[in-house]
Amino acid sequence: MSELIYLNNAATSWPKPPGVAEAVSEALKAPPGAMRRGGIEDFDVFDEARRLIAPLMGISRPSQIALGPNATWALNLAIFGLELKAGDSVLSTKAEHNSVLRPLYALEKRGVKAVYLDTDETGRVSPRDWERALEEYRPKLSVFTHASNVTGAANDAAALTRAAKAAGSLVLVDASQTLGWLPLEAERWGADMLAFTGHKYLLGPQGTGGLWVKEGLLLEPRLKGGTGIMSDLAEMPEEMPLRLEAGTGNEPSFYGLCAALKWAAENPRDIKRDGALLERLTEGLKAAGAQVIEPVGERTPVVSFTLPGVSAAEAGFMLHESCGIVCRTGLHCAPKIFECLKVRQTVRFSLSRFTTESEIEEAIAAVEAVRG
Amino acid sequence: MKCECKKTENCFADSQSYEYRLPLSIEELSALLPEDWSQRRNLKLRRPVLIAERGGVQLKGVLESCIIKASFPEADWCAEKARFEAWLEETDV
Repeated sequence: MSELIYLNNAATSWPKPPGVAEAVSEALKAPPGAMRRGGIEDFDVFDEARRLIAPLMGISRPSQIALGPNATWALNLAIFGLELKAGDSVLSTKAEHNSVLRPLYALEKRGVKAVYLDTDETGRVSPRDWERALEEYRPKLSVFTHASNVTGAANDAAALTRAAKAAGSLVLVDASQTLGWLPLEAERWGADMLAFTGHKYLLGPQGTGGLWVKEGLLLEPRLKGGTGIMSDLAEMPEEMPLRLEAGTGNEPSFYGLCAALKWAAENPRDIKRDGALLERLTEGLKAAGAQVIEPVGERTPVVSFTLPGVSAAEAGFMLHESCGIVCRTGLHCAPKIFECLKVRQTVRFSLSRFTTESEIEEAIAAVEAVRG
Repeated sequence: MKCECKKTENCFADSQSYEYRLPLSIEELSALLPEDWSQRRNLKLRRPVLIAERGGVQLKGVLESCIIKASFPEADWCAEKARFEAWLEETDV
């Protein structure tokens, strides 16, 4: 029996690939990268991260990616950076994480109308409902998560973006749950902004994330400060990514992220294996008496479930404290989706490419034991 | 008994959760809990657990551990927490 089985990768991935911890450690031991102020021979870890991430996002200009601490930072930057005014509308969904919901609640207090579209019972937005809402509300901004962090159901990002653009809306995609797991094509979709994090399926350290902004779209920076160049200007420069990157970046963590990205490029995900594990987990949980939310089609490695007669809090406690299974329980910081899922809370197992068959079997056995 | 207390993270609606490190095991605590607490055990688990409840307050702990997790109802969590802590304070071990 394993001492610890980590099934909380939709929150933060663990373990990290070989080389990540070493890269962070080496970066801390070495002199700071900005020592020589970015000369032609200097290695810039942030530019390297942009270069490695850009193809995963499906974008052609890495310099349009602003790097920061996490997806919450990026989403706030995007949502508040558009300077929406009273009377403007935003279209979003009930599948959103609080990192989208809470900024939108703040905008509502300023008189912006926010509309949260229902999902189906697996957490996916219907493109037809989305189109109707676009027609009705004519939003200035449409923001949706690429995949639910509660159920793993991926939205049809191409269809949702296309429809929003046709209705004259700017589009912000929250790719926190998908970048590194599913293929993204932000430019082909026609998106205007895409927020991501480095510590989930990109397998990097915490403290890494970013926002891609389509060329020509000028956001008002939330943070203003030093940029290393154009220091005589009173305003933040218009040039990306400097415009959105005030202050010193988290160099050691981005070294770790680059190591993770290079490892992932050399070790592509085994899609067939990952799919089989997900299916085995789902079937095993159902056989153990769990009620499993089962999205059909494209999804992330997330399995959310309830156990009849056992609250999610009790189940989570027993799984963690008694069985050594690290998972997440409750609302998963996405409270609105529960209006659509017809359950009050769930237990969530989320896998990574490092999850093994034996861990899946132990997790299923643990759930059987929790049911008593 | 003297206990160390720490607020814990949780992602549930209407819930205030705290952990208490006790000077005795949860198995021993179980014997001390007043009769108005309902108690359930799951002995099928690798590390068997106790779940005890009274008036919306729920205690969860591994029997061999000395840490108990207490969840207090949102409506009156302050008073319920104070009541529970008063009972711990008054109970001799």
